[in-house]
Amino acid sequence: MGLSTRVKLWTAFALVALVIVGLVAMGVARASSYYMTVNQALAEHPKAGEVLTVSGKITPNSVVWNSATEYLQFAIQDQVGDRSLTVAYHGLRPSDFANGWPIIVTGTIEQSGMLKATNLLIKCPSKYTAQSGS
Amino acid sequence: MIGTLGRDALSLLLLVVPCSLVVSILSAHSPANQPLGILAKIGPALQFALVFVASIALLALLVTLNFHYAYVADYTSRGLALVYRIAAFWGGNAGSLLFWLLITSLYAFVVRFAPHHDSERLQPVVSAIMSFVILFFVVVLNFFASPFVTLTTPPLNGNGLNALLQNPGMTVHPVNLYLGYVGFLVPFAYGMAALILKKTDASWLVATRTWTLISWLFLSCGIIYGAHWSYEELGWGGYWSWDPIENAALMPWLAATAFLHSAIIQERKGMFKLWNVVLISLTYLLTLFGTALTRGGLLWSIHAFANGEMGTVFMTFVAVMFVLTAALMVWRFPALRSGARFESAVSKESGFLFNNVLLIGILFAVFWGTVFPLVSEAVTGSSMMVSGTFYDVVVLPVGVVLVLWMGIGPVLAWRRASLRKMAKMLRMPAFAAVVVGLGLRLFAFQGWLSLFALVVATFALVIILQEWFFAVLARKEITGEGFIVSLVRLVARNRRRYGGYIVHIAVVLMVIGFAGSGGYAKQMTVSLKPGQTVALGSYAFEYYGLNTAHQSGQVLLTGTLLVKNAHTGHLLGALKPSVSFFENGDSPSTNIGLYSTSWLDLYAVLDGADYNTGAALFEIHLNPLVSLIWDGGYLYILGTLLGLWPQRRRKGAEFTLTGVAADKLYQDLRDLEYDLHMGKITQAEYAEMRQRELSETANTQASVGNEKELKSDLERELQAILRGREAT
Repeated sequence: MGLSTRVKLWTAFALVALVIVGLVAMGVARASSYYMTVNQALAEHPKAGEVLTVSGKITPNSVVWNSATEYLQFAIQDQVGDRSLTVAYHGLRPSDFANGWPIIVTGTIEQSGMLKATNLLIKCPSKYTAQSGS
Repeated sequence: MIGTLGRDALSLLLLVVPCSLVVSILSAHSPANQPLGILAKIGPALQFALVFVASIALLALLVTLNFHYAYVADYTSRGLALVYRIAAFWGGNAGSLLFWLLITSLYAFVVRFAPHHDSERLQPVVSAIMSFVILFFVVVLNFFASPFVTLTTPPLNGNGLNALLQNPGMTVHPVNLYLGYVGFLVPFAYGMAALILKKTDASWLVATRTWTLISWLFLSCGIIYGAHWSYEELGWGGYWSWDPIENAALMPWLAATAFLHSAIIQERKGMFKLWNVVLISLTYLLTLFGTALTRGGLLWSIHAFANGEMGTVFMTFVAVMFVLTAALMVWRFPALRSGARFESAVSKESGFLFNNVLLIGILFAVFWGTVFPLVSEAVTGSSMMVSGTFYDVVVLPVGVVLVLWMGIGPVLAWRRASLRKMAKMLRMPAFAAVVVGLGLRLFAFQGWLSLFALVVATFALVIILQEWFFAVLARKEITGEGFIVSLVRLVARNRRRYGGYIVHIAVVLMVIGFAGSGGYAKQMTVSLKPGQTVALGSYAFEYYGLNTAHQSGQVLLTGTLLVKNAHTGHLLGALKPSVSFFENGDSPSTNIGLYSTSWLDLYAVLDGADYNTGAALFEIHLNPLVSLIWDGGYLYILGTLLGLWPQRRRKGAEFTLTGVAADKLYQDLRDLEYDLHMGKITQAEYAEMRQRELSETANTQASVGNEKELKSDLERELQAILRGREAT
């Protein structure tokens, strides 16, 4: 008789588990980025060329959108605190883009200190937070 | 005042629930005590009655727009349609917790009055566990998030319900998710009760099978409907974005799906006792964890948001439940040792286990991706997050293997599968899969992932249909019935198996939808002047013009696109994406233009417009096969309902064996027979295994008397059962 059933099964499952852990490690290496608030990002004094993911909310009345060149510029700030970071984005203006909405921006810091975004992630405001009265 | 009544009912629960908890524990301790038994039944009823009163009170406040109450002012406003005033009940934090409590206490009430095998012993313990959970919610609702907080100066108008939530989906999606989430408390409580009572046979699984399936169905509906809602409402062209909140619903689904499969093994073979308790606990803890994520603002922003309190409260409860559950398992570990072993590395048993490994592997990956920001911050001090690519790289390939396995699983025989016979059965499905794969590679290649997904989907689909077809043929041969009659009776008498097969077919259809829309979608963003035409795929889109309409409380801006066949110029129809601007200053919301066929969705979003020139910016998507996902969803519901449809029960009283053991033996022998007819095992193997089943059952029932006598009794009874079956 060859290997016992138990050994065979455990070997097979260990292999599968190993593959999945390997995939997770590869996925993390390939698709993770630093994630910070606006205040943290500004406090770190990031150098030009650094890749960052920053979360904040869209500063009211900071949005500039040129549909002809598909150029979007806006500022983000933390929920508390008034320091803001300017973000530039070439591409489509997300359809649910509005003042005060929470957003996650991924991009590179430019010489000017502006964040040149490659990816915008907008969250619909949580239904569990009441809308602030206008 | 109805609001005061609601608040008082909630306060009273602070007294009633602990009493009910104590009475249940005492009753579990001395089951013979009659008055205690009656009190233990009044407890869950009183709990439910009080929660019901509080819920009605909140609903009344919402419907009458009583802005004296902060919750009403926060989530409703004058002019809000009645249905959304009702939906505001679960639209906000405190209300949704009360809604949650309402379902939990309703379930606890129903469970207490639903008798089953050995319910006298199990139910008091189950009630105690459920009361413990209810107590947590009662404390939260009284001290952390009361829906009955009053305002000293009521506003003239409320804030209103978020425009995105004013959608019929709001009445379906959250309700389904809550029903699913809460429902898993029942099998969890039973699992824990069985552990406490050292009752580690499958009776807790049998008693809660319906609860588990219904909860699983609600959770699945909630997820699928949520995806559909997001696809049609949010206007970003997709239906799933691996957002933490989506993951929060997916994770318990994965654990529950693993549980549904491994429970079968314990019911039938007495294996995986510990594993099943682990899985149901994992499922329930993940529903709590998901709630903590949804409420706490824990992940969306770890730092600055003010609503972190609920997250902490829930995480504390998750931690408490985790410690209690783990401690109970360690304490009862000796009793949980498996009653049986694997006979062979390749068998249905090991197949189910492999399915579990894959599902839990996916769960692990999703969990890791979701909590990565928390873990990385705890470890390195700076927070990191993973993008959707992480899930595409990790989860989708494992998912493809899972679908492949979904195909192979059904052809595996119980106990010991012969590789040669399996190869024979897999020949045709493999051929079909290879043909599809080659065809896609040559004529429609869009990347390996979608190709493999479509190949394994074909493979799994052909296997299921083939299994089904051969089973009908086998039955036809035995009974001499016609094909249709055979098919109907086969399904009617094996509802669990064929309900499962239908769900598998539904999943295959959905996978085809995922692969089609994920791998073969086309999209473009284009700025058009009226009269201009743009082509995408085999369609041409002509911009007709802008139109503004004033409706109640909003201005609707619509851009009309005429859709034509790009080759012939033949007019097919019009897409009318629009944007709603709200007079109350709410953020504008997009309304997509959608034309959906089985093969292709034409999906258009109006992104912006220039009033002076009439030019407009459109985002156009061609999403193939998306409707298969939604149609698959309906089939999924149908299959689950078939599996839920109760099978007529045999009367156990006249037989030597009763309850779980009789069911198990009967099912085992029937499966053995099925495997024989389907050509999965030989006649000799059949005879040997049948003999073994009988003696194993006789051994477990040794107390009944002489083994040989029992065996012949069993054989006789079994024949009687089988004859009775065929006669009906």
